[in-house]
Amino acid sequence: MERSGQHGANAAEFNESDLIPLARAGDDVAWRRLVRAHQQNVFRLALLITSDTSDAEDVVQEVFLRACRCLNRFDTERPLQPWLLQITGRLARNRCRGRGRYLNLLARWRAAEPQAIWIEEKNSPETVKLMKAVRQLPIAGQHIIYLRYFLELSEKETAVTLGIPPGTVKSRTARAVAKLAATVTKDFSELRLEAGQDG
Amino acid sequence: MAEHSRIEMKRIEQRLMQTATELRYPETPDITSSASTDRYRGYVSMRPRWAAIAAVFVLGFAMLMAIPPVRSAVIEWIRAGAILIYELTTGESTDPRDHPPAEPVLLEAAKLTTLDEANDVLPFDLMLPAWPKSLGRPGEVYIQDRTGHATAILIWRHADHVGKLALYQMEGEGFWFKSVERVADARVKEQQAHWVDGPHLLRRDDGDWLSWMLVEGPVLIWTTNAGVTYRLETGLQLEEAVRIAESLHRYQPDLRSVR
Repeated sequence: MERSGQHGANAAEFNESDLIPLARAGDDVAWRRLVRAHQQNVFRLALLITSDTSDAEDVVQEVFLRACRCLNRFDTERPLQPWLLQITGRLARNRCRGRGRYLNLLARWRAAEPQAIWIEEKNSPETVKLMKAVRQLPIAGQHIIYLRYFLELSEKETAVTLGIPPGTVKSRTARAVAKLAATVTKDFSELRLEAGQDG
Repeated sequence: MAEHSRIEMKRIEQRLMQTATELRYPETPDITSSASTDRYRGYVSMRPRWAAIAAVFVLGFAMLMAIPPVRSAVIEWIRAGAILIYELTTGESTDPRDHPPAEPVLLEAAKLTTLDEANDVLPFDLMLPAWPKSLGRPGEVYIQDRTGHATAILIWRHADHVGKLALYQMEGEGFWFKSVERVADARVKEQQAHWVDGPHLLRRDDGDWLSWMLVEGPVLIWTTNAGVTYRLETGLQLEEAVRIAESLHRYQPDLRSVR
């Protein structure tokens, strides 16, 4: 799988490297254009990790607050999104931990129904099942799946976001998918059959 | 079997891509109306949590300064994967061979687990030493994932030949720090490694969490291209520590127990 930057469609409408210096200089219009271009993916990653809409909204606010305050240190030659998603991943995980849940995530997610109400409210039973299976993975495995498949980041973008070499992204993604396959085989066999029928 | 596995993974990957396309999210909140550079930059935050961390840092630093070798000036920084080493100029040297490694201090939030579970949780392959053969499997396995950067800690307390041994395997960068008296270059399978030879302090700091421990024995530190950092704590000589490091191989879980 190698897809690149459908998520960046909005960002491609303008030149980020032109807007960032303006935002640094206090141009609110430039900064808002940057926020508008990236807030969706920031929100979605936060939502996927925290499972909670309110938490995800708080994370979005904090991500852009931190990004704005650190904008002077940002290298304008680099794309903004991996940096924003890096902050998002860290803050979303911290938020889970802050709620006293982080250390129990794995055990709870393996044993209990996921609490991502928004998934069940808005999606088909098949989608809900697969998301349950994904959420049974260790958080690191979930994180890389969210970036690669749900936000459609390329391997290179994922590597920058996670701070690991591109080759490692490939191996970790394969590892996460293999774990997901094992989970589906064990706990969601009906989903596996559906996948087979589709395939 | 491999072909079956490949097909299965392909199906799962297809299902993932389909689900990712179909997944319906709540509407993204539009924060652009409140996004003001003035407002953001005017935001001065020193939340209680950070203030507490700062206080702990100051206290930790004061304690460090109470230890004679650590009073020396910091002269050099060396980055070794997830570990940042700063070397001290002076201080009494103690032969590490006279001081077997300190009881491995298991940091807060480390969870006792099994090799299978650790291998399952880690985003990288769990490794075990093949040498010396008498070493066998670790008596204790711990996992730390508090920072979102998973660390596995394997401990052999009474291994034949090597005595006590602790092997840390961690991902991520810049959240372990060492202040050391002596550090020497070494090689592990042609990779740059560092031999920290003498008592030193180990500080873990991920921004949210800070802790210290004093390590008396020598430690071998090296990283791999896969972004994993290893830290081998042992009372052995460098050559033997390197031999253990170079014997690491991927842990093979018992397939019968795979979920």
